[in-house]
This record gives sequence, C-alpha cells and structure tokens, in this order.
Amino acid sequence: MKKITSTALAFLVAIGLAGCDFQAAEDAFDNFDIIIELEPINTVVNGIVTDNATGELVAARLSFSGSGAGTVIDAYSDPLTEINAEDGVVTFGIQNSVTPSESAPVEITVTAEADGYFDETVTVEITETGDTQFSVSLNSENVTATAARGTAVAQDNSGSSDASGNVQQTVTVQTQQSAQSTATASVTVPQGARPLTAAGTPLTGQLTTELKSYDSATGLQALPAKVRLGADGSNQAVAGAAYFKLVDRAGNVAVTVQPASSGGVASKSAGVCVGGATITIRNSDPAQRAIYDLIVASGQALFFDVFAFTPADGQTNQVGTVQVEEDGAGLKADLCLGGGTGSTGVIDTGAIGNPAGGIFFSVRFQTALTSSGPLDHSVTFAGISGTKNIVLNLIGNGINLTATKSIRNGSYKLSTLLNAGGDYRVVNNTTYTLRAVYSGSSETVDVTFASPLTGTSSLTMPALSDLSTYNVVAALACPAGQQFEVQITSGSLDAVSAFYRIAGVGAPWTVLPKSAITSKEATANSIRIAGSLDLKANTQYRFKGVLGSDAATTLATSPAAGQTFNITLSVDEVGIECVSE
Amino acid sequence: MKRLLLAAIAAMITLPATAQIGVAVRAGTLGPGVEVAYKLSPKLALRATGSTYTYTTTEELDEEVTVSFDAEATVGAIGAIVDFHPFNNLIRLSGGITVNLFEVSGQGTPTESYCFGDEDAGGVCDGKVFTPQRMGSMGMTVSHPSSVAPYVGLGFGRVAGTKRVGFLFDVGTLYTGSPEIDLVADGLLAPTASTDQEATLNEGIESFQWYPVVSLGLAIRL
Repeated sequence: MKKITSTALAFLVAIGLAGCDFQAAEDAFDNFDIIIELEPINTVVNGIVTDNATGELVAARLSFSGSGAGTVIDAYSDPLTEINAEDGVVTFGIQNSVTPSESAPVEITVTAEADGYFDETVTVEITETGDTQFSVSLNSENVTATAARGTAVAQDNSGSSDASGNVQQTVTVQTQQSAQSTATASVTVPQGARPLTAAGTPLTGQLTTELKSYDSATGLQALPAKVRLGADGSNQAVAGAAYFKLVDRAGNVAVTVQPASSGGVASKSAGVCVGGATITIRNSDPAQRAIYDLIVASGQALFFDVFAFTPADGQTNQVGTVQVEEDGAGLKADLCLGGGTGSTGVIDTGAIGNPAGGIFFSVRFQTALTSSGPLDHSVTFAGISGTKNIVLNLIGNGINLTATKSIRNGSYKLSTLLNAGGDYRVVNNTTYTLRAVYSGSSETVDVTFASPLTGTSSLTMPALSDLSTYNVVAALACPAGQQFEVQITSGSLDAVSAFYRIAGVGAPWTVLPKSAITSKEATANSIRIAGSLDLKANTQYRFKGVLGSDAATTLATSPAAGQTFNITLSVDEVGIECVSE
Repeated sequence: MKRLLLAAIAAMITLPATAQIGVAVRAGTLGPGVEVAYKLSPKLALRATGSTYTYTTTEELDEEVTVSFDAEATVGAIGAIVDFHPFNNLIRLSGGITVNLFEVSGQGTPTESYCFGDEDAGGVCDGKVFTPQRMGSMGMTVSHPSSVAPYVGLGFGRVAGTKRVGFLFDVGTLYTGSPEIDLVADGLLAPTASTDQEATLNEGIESFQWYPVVSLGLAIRL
C-alpha cells in the first residue's frame, strides 16, 4: 500500500512540475525583445553639404529659420532647430500635421556653418509630402584655395612699400582667363600710393595681393551667401565679383589706397582712376554683353551698384556705383579705391567693414534692369520613363540654383523643381538656361528661356543609354550571433536614407529618393532597404546610409546589368548597437 | 477521476445518520486558506475550500532599457472537493472542481532616459536620448483562459475526523490548461506588445498546464 501511495504521490508531483518545459519558457523570455517604434514621418527632407570647389562632403551645423522652421522635426519626431550633419549628409522631417502643397508650401531657410567655410544659406521649398532634397555648397574661407567653377585666382608677393608706406613699384595683379570662367579681375596699385588700414596705418615692407574673380553665372555659387543675397535672403542679380586682399607681413590689411599726393583722395577722370588703386571686374559673358549693347543702343549707359562684403565682421554695404564699359571681347567695371566718395566708380571706403579677412566687391544689376517674383516659369518634361532622379541647374545672370528632384513626365514650376520658394530677382532682356541630367549620368539636356518668372517651355529627356536599372538592397546588419540592443520596427524607417555617388573625388552625391524605394524592413538584427536605381554597370559606387545625423559609408561595385546589387553598411556607424543574442 | 466519482456515489448511498462537520486552516502553494468538510461516511467526505494569496513586488530590470516593474501575483482557488478514504484510515484520495484565482500582472515604466545609439567613453549619448515619458510603459498579464480547474490529489488526515484536532497534508495538482500572456505597451515601446511577441511567450509557457498543490493544515472537528 505504501508503495502504491508513494508512486501516486510521485506521479502527481511529476505532473505538476516535470510536465513543465522550463527550458522552453526560458528560451521564450530570452527571445522577448524590447521593440521601439518611431512615429512615421510623412515628409522627409534629405540634405547634402559639400565643398563647392571639390564636391566633397563637409561636416556642418545646420540651423533652421523661416516660416516653416517651426515644423521641422528630427528623425525621431522631436522638434528641431539645428542639427549637426557630421558626415555632410542629413535627414530631417516635417511635422505630420503639416501637409505641404503647391498652394501651401513649407519654406525653410537652412543656414550651414562649418569650420573653415563661409556660412551659407539656402531656402528649401517643400510642396509635397514624401521626400525633398536640398544641397548646400560651402565656400572655403581660404579664398585662394582650389578655384571653383566660374572663378579664377591670382596671388602676388612682388609688391613692396617703404617705411612710410609708399608703394615702390606699381603692382598689377590679374587673374587668368580660363575656360571655366567668363570673368577675370585685375588690381593695379600705382607707385607712390599708400595702402592704409581702416585705422590709417600704412602697409610697409613686402605686400601680398590676393585676387579672385567670380563670373555672373557658375561663379555665383562660389560666392559667400552674403555677397549673393540681400538681408532678406533674396538673390541680388550679381553681375560679377572680385575678392581683394592687400596685406603686409605684419598682417595689416588695406581698406583703401591713398593717392601719392599726401592727404589726397582718388577720383575718376574719363573713366580712369586717378591716384588710387583700380580693381577691374571683367566679364565676357555674351548674355551680359547683349544687355549692355541693348542699353547703349538706346542711348543710355549701363551702371552697376557696387557692394562690399567683409567676412571679418559679416557686413555687406553698398559702397558706390560704377559705369560699365566695353573692354575688347567683354565688359569691365573699374572700381577706384582711394578714399573719395560721391562720384561714379569711386568706392566709398568708409562704408567698407573690417577688411581683415579681405573684401568681396560685387557689382549688381540695378533694380530698374531687373524683375522680381516667384519662379513661376513652367517646364513640361517628356521622355522620362517612370520617375527618375534628375539634377537640375538654373543658371543665368544673377542666378545659379541647383537641386535634385524625383520627377516624371509632366509640368512643373521652376520653384518646385528647384525647391526655391520666395521671390527671385532676374535680369531683364537676357536668357536663362535650365540644365537637366539624370542623376549619375553624364547626358545633359538644356532649355533656354527669357524669364524664370513667367512663361512655359518644354524639355525632352534623352534615353538612359549609359545607365542600367538595378535592384539595390542596402543592409545594415549585426554580426552573426548578435542582434540590435533595441529593435525598431519597419515603420520606423522613414528617416533612414541612403545617398550614393560614383566613387572618386568630386562626383556628385545623390539621395535614394523615396519613390525609388521598394521596401524597408527592420528585423531583430538587420535593417534592409531595397530600391530601384539607375546606375552604371561594373562601376564602383560609394554609399551612405543615414539615420538622422549619423551615417555609415561603404564602397561597392555594381554587378553586370540585371543582377541584384547588394550593399552592406556598418551598423556601428549609424549609432545602432548590437549585442549578443 | 471516474473511479473516484463512482466511489463517492457508492459511499453516499450508505450515508450514516451521524455525519460530522469539521473546519480547517491551510497554507500551501495556493496560499493560506480555510475549508469546511462534511463527513458523509467513514470513507467519504465533502469539502469546500478557499485559498488565496497576493504578492506584490517592485523590481528594477536593468536590461536594454532600465525598467521599474511593479508586479502583483495572485494564487489561489475556491473549490468543491470529494475526499475518499479507501482504507478507512487517514489516507485519502481527493478530487474536485475549483475556480482558479491565479493571475500575475505587472506594469513597467522606464526609470531613466534611454540612449538610442552609442555612448562615448564618458557615457554621454552620441545618439538620440528618449525620456522615460517618451519611451512609454509596458505591462503584462498572465492568466488562464478558463478559470475552472479540476483538482486531483493525495492527502493525509481528515477535516471532519474522529479526533477533535487533526493534522492535514495534501499533495496534488490543478489542471489549469496553458496560461496566456497578454502584453500591453504604449509610447515608443508600443510594438513590444505585438502579437508576435505574445505568441513567442505563450509558446514558451504552453506546457505549464498543471499547477502543483502542496499544503499543510490543521483541522478541528466541530
């Protein structure tokens, strides 16, 4: 009996305890993950910050202002007033409560600051949900470094002045004419003249002259924003510019050049600067010449307003006006720098700010020769297969705007194509060109029209002969045996973006547009983004995966056409941590 | 179980005129409880039982996200049991039906901001910092789909015995069926309570269909 009882007792305990699979329960709780879901973001803005001269990405701090600034959110839907684009690429969003449209666009002014570069400002106009791209080109504070398109540089150390500051021999410095720029600049400091600082201190000993010219189209992009733009951020129809810095070995920087006659001031006589230094801005742009011819033919003269921007204190001030003259194949504007004021062509040096960082002199078309308004010119695209990423560049006197847009056949206003909200000042009686190129391709097509403000035009894109359509799968995966410390859901990937370019210095970066993304998937140990991209076959590309301000980079070579292009990015670089499973 | 029921029916047919009633207090895996028994015959008694115990605790779980977890666990059962003494002594077979009071619930709230991303050597977050409020909370309830749980067990002692005071010892099991876990979460943690995660946990505990019952008690015949 005892045996039966004991057996039954053991059986009951066995049922109650041994029947439970404790290992299975432990495994189940081990497999239980903390999962985070970020709010979806309906409108994502992807930005690229590059060095204008080299095309390389630049780490920058971006701040937001303008009417739409209050709608900016980060990748995690928190309000955002500034963000560090540590790798030169950045993604942020617009609050879901705001639905941008053509009739109610969201306008955000993005100011980029980076060490060693001039601050730059772009206005991004968002007219639809989905994704919008913008780019910021920064210009080095080292003005005489690599010459960007539309510029030419000269530097001279041959000049010198005596102990009293009198220049011993006439110094003439000129930038060289080159194929990449329609503009040149020259400066002449006559013998006996005395370069003076703002405090009246003469420059002595060896003199170094730095000079850089900027043409009125491509060169505009190389100018600091405060040269191109007015105080309200609108463009100023710049016709040309020159950077000038005259410095002695003690570091004294000239703001004026006193004529040889002691106490005298420079003046202009018969178009020639008497006594002071002459800074000449030349431009062989045929469009500008046509404007000049038209005005002269009507019996009038062409005048430019002259402005001076001094990076040392950030001031931009009007310092005079100048009459434009014919100079061989082009036009020239002689700026007379010598302390005089009130006469055409003579620079009011008292209105120039701190010259310690040099002076940007710009000449602008006067308001009477320009029109202002939104970029309402409409362009009808044809020949595009589906939706393509197209790089657009509007260029002409006083305007140089670049944007990348996902577009399909149809009509678009320039303001939409170029994410360019607000009013723009354009020059009358000239033409502007919109250049379009498939992102990553080299086949360009242009359309030219009279005004970016009104009218219509059409543009037929060429066949994509040098690109093949790839199914690209970019994966951020933990190493084998590891998983994300915290998993995120697939729906959290709105703010994950990918950028790419052909490997090599200077190649332009392109964002993987939302329209090209076919799937986004997040699992416990990987994030995969698949998309359809037009790329060159058997070509090495550099890819960046971006989450907010963090980015991971990798190099990968495209396979033969028709194959899937798999790309693996490092999880660590985008700030996601993997732990043992 | 079937035999037990047949024996109970047979015993009831031969009910003595001098039935006895006893009460008992118990403590065991169903918590502290009381019961009343009615002796139908030397071999058979009916017993009504009730036990319950609630335990509350607060634990800090320092996992991926540091979470303060307030948990409350209730065990217990209310039941009607038939005791069968096949050898007419203190040893008995017991069986019956109970209402299972088992339920475990917990609510967790992050106690610290969470760094989504890397931290530098100084522990400063290089990624995104989420406040506890933004993270949200999560909760879990473990219960059984059906509260009715049959009981079977072996026991020693009588509640309504021949002696005034008696000692009780029972070992048995409740058939509860598989428990079910329900998850709830809000804020950024909301997807942690996904049906997939619930399914994973429920598969892991589906073998836990029997609840072991061990109890000691003291009986007094009235």
